[in-house]
Amino acid sequence: MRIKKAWIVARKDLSEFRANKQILLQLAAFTILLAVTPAIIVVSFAALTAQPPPNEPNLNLQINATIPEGEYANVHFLGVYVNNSTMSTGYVLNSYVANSTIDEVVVRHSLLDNVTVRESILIDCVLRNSDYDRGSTILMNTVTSGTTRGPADEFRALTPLLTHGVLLFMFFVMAIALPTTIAAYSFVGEKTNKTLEPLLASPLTDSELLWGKYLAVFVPVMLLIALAFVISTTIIDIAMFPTLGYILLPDAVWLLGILVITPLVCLIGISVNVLISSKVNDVRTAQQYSSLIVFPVMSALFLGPSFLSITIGIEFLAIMGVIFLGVVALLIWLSLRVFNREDILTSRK
Amino acid sequence: MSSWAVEAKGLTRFFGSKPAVQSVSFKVAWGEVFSLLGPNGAGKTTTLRMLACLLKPNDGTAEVGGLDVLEQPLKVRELFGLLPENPGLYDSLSAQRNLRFYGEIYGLPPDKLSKRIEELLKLLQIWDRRDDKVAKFSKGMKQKIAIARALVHEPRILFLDEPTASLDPEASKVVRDFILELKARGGTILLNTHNLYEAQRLSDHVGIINTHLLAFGSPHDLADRMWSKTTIVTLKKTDERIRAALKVLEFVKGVSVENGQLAVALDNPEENNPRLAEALVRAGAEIISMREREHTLEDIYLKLVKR
Repeated sequence: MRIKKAWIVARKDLSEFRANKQILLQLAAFTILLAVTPAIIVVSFAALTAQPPPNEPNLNLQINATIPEGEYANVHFLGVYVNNSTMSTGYVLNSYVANSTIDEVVVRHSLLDNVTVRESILIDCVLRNSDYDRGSTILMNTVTSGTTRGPADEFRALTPLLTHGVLLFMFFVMAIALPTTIAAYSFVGEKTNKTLEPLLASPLTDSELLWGKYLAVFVPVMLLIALAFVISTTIIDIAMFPTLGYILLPDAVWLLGILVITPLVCLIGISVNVLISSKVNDVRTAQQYSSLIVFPVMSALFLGPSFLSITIGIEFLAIMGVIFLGVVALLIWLSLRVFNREDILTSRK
Repeated sequence: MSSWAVEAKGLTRFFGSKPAVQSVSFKVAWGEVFSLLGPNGAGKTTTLRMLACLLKPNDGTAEVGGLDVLEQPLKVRELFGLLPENPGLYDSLSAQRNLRFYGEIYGLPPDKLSKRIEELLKLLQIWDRRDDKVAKFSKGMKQKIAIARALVHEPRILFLDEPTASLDPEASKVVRDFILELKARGGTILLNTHNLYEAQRLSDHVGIINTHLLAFGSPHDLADRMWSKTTIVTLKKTDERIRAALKVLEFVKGVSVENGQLAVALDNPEENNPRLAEALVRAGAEIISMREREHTLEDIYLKLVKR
């Protein structure tokens, strides 16, 4: 397999796509849809569910003492000012903690400013400009403000959309739907326009020809998805940054989804199309058949998590990635196996 | 380099249980035009496709440029240019882009390819329209572009499948003239046709095929082999006495009257025609004209295919 030869075939297909208004229109429409829709959903959802940030209550702290800077374990602090210190395990009450780290501490009725919080419980507190570990920290009746990391409470409603991958899902749908529409032109198109015979008589191997066809669809689809991804996340980030105070996207889940899952889903779309193309002789039939495969793949991605009661997170995507990789390898191997020059030439009669 | 450009050795191909081509063998020398002549469905395209490594023979094999089509199909494909039945051009791309694509596949370096495309398009007189989409060209022009595509990598062997089949007479002439020009430049051309005139005009050798190869040779040789030579004599007046006088001549094989003319079958007309004239005069005949009967490829074809 000479990849350069495959690329020659792909470039020819790309020139043909450029000259085909229908394909261009489809690609443009999909890209714009994909670039704008997630942003509109996130921004409008945020606007609808946004509540004014709660006022910081006046805690009326009674500070009686200042604790010297240092590292403390099993603390019992009441009515103290702690600065530049580290506390692990214990209780803090009615105190003012600044520029410190707390770990496994129960804090009640206190003000925490620029504090890193881990595995702790905060009750009736004000947490200001701080970083807290959302997985291990319990906030009860606690007001957060400033540049606290992790989605602020007022945007909790957004998390299903973002972390449960509902929006990411749109990219998966595009990654499989786009190839099924344009790959049909690329392969069945050669058949219906009877351009295949001179091509098959040229010194190209089966795999060069097939990989050319794969690349011709894969490259533009992935470029457009990447473009749509950059545009939509940029819009979301620009819109959300002032209220969130941090950059929402891309997070690890989105990166995994875009960099690993979309290419695999795209390859599934193309290879199924190539398989169908070898048995079908017109573009519309090929498109109809291949739209059928959108259903099972999308069901796996969308309904799977619901049935298993898990979220579309790193683990789920990683597992799907491995499964899809296997599916892609199998389909590509199959498409090479069923590619039969003689059938293609003689079946159209 | 093999001494033969193309050598078919017992090519046989079935589609299902139906034989399309059976035990076809022939040889094509370098620099000659060879026509496979036959009715529709006679196996011309199948034969060509086997030579072009598009179909595998069920039996037999062939060599193209000295390479076996079964053993080295990829290398064989580099040696020839193919014009299929349909031009198979990409309609949405320009003439130039179509040629460039194929040139790239054959691995021509960009500079050389550009020069080659210019040369071919100028030869076809469409250099000015090189950036027009192929869809805008007439059928004859498309066929020429398709031939140019087959020639882009300067193959020494050209396979043409029905090059003028779907063209009007004017476009056919354009394509035929182009083939003659290629022949004059020393190209080896194997073409399929059911057009007898075309085969006679263009070819050095013809093979008449109808699943089997029925005959093979130059149009002239074929006629010689199938008919004895006949001299047509027009006399002012023909009568039984003159015919009787001819029948006794030892070199005359038969005498008949066709449309008021005498058809005299004889061997070796160069030597015997003067003796025939002498005998006629001696018998008192007044000769208006004498000529040798030419058998056209059409006669040969009809005799072979229709029998």
